[in-house]
Amino acid sequence: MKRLLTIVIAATMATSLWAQQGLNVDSVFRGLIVAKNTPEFKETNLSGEVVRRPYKLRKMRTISFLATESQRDRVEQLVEADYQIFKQRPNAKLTDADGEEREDRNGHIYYIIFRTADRDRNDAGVRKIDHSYVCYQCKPKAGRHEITLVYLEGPATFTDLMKNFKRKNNKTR
Amino acid sequence: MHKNEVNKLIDKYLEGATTPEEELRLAKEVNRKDAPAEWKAISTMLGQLALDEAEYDEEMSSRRSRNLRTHRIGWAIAASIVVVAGIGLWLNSRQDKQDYECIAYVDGKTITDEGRVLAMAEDAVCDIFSNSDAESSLYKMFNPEE
Repeated sequence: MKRLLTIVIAATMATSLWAQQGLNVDSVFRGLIVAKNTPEFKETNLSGEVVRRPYKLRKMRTISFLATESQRDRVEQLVEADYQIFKQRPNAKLTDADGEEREDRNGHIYYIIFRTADRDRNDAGVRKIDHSYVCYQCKPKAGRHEITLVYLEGPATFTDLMKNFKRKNNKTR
Repeated sequence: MHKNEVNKLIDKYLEGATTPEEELRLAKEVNRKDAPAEWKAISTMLGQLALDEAEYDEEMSSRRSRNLRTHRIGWAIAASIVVVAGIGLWLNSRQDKQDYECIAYVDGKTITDEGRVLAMAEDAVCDIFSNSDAESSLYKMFNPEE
């Protein structure tokens, strides 16, 4: 029964139309690098009103898990590939949504936040643009690597994200 | 009013049997621009007072109808705005309901409590965004080559 439930959940999640599809990191979200039934694998999917009001987002997806060195390297490659696509956008204009943060430690990405492709959205006949962001962090934990990968999508600018999530973090501390 | 009716009313007036209301109606008819010349004599007989009163009544009734039309247009515009705003709100709320998702999976367990799921997501995101804080600055200070 438990196995059946796991299969149903996995199938539902695999078919759900999450907008990070098209990014290299999509395979990480789909559990193809580290399986979703791995202990300590956490996933959250939020969209709609719950993230719109507090964060000006339409979608927020997070996963975190413990990875071996080779798994960490694979995830890092995918993140780096998406980042390079972002960096090499032709005729890119620097806007308020274009901020980025990155820190490398010991030759590996420690954390990175960057914007990916914008998405057009039709909101009751009005054309609106959603920005999308990928955030990645890798910290050592118990001889392995604790990886957190986040996908955010919505009208929020980079400044909005920094303001909201830093403030939230300070509040919860 | 039909010409014959007006003629009957004129006869009645000449017999002195008309009521004040009938005299007003008659005044309106004989004072028309397209009224026959023979009616003009009746117009003089009715006197300026009756004619003024008839014109006044006509003007007032036309104003009332203009006001009524203006009010109707105003109400129609207001109703249209309410309907359009209502449809907009309904579409928005429908979109929100369609888009709504709030679910977490932890060690094979499904969590749907909105508060818990949001807290988990916020923890993950805030953890990354807080990296540019003091801890990171200290790391950079002691590892300047990176």
